[in-house]
Formats: sequence, C-alpha cells, structure tokens
Amino acid sequence: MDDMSTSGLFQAAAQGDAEAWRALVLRLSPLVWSVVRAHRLPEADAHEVYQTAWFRLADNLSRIKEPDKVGSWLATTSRHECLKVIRHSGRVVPTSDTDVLSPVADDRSPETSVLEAEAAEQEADRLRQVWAAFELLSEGCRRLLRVLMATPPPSYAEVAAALGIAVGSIGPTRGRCLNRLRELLAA
Amino acid sequence: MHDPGDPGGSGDSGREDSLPGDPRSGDSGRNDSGRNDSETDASGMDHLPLGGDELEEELRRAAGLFDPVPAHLVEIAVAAFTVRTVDTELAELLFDSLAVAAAEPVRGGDQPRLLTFGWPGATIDLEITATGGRNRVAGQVLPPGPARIETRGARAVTVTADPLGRFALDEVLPGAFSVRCVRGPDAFTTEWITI
Repeated sequence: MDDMSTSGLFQAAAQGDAEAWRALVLRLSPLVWSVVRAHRLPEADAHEVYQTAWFRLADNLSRIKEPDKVGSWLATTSRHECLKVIRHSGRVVPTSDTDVLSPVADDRSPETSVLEAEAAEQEADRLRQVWAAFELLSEGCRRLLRVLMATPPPSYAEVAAALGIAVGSIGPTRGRCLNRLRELLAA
Repeated sequence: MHDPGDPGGSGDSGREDSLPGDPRSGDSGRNDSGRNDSETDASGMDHLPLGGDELEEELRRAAGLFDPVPAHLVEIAVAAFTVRTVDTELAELLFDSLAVAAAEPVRGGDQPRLLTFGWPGATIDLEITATGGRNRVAGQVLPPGPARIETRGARAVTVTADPLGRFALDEVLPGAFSVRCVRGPDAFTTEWITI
C-alpha cells in the first residue's frame, strides 16, 4: 500500500477501504502538520486544527472529484482553519515563540533512537545546527520552508495552497531563504 | 463545487481569503508524487530552481527528528474514518463569522462566533461563546421543531431541541466540533469546525 499513489489511496479510501485511509493519513500527515506549524499556532491549537482537517476530509471523501488534488485540499483546509483560530484569538502570529518548533518534542520520532548510534551523532549534530539556524530566519522564510520540508516533498501546488501564495512566488523565495540559511550555517 | 479548492465543499473559501495561490488558480498540474523540478509550470513558469535541494533535504530530516507529527494525532486521524458521516447527511458550512471577519486586522475572542450550516430543507445556526477554557454552544434548527442533537467525537453528548428548534450545549471543550441533528425520518450532520 505504501507504493500506491496518493490519488490511488484516496480513491480506495473513498470506496470504504480503511487500510487505504490509514496509508493516506500516514502519507499526508506531515504536510498537514507542516501547514499548521508554518502558522505557528500554540501547541493545543495546532493539534486541534490537524484533527479538524482530517475529520473534514473523512466527511468529504465522496465529494472531492479530483483525487490528485487531495494534498492541496488538505493544505487549503488546514490553512483556513489556522487563520480562523488566529482570528478568533485576536492574536497576531507570533514571530518568535520558543514553545513552537522547539527541538524537544513530546513524541519522539523513531529516528531518535536510531540516532543514538555513534555513527549517526555527526548527522544529528549537523541537523541540530540546521534546525537552530532555521529558527533564526525571518518569519516569511520559516513559513515557506516549514511547508517545503514536509515528507514526502510537497508539490508546488500544495505549498501554494498551504500558504495562500502564488505558485510562481515559491521558487524565488525558496532560493532566497535557503541561501540565507546557508549563510547562517556558515557564520 | 466540491473540488479541492473548496474545503469542505462549503463554499466558504470563496468568501474568505481566496488568494492567487488557491489551488483553483495556482495549481501547477503536477501529480501528487512530489515536485518535479524539471517540469514546466502549467501557468507558463520556467523551470523551477534546483539549487538548495541538499539543504532542503537536511531540513526535511531535521523536521522529522525535531518536529514530527505527534503519534497520537495520527491515530486520531486514522480513527476519523470510522466516524465519518454518510455523504447525504452532510450539512455544509454556509456562513462563519470568522470567515467574514477576515478583513478586520484584529478581532478579539469576546464576540460570539456565528455559523450556519445548510442541508436540503433545513438549516442549523450555532452561536459559540468562549468562557474560560470552555465553550457554550447555543443553536437553533430551522424550520423550527423538536429534534435530538448529538455532538460527534470522543465525549458525545445528546440534548433535545425545544419546539422552536432551540438547544444549548455547555462546557464544550475546545477542539474539533460537529453535531448531528435527528428529527423524524431526517438526520443531518454539520461539517467539522474548530472551536
């Protein structure tokens, strides 16, 4: 099931295949999470928006007519929910919230234990540096890169849907932000 | 209208913050297998830059290490499949004061949030007031009449709407929220919102 296309998983789920749904959730969860993180919601709000996005997709399975755009659909839905939460709280998106995107996460990924291995320590050090430098970027760069770093890499259409920006603006901004990140790492 | 550019099929995306990057206008025509940097964008854009991919990959690994999707959330999303509503029961979000308020620069959480969901032959209005960490949800089913109102989700609650179709739910915890309305032979279920 892991090698099925996302649209194939979506179509199977829409026909009632629970395993396909699970695989779809695993496939696109990092995208939804990235959109939520890019909007830098407080932890509890981030969890709620993630859930609403998936609940909405489950309800709309038989209504979405273009299976290949399910990622964009989720990205748009997640963004709209993020914006509503932000509006409702009357809060501006924090520019430096150390509680968000902190390297200490509640749920450690399986990679964490793997990286205990000495051979991987160097890689972990490097990724810690990359992550710390990422935190120093401007808000605009963090927003874009946080979505781009979803796994698997999102399409430009999905990134545009996630952030409400034009597809054509992504490439140049991405290049500029990655260059800035490279400078920070070299400093 | 139920295309990916229209989340929830509710029509609300057109009224809130439709921007040039919405999927309808910004779709590049790529498939879902990821970006293909050698592909020309459907809008006529030239090749997208290839530089920086290695650093982007490092960011991807860093995100997987330092900010993964919380495992318990993934399980909730998987379980969403079993509580999904029947397509014919889904009442679409027609109005949301939070969407209308998009143009306002700052909006406090002190005003109630108003929502309307529509289903063939019926609507349901909700007024949500945040009090501390809880919410009060007052609602009315139209045309008026008694009904059974059930919240969806982990802590399901059932209340009865009065002859005018009015009901209230107190102490509703923040999170994804949806209600199912049953009256006579009819049943409809609102789209999920975050409260």
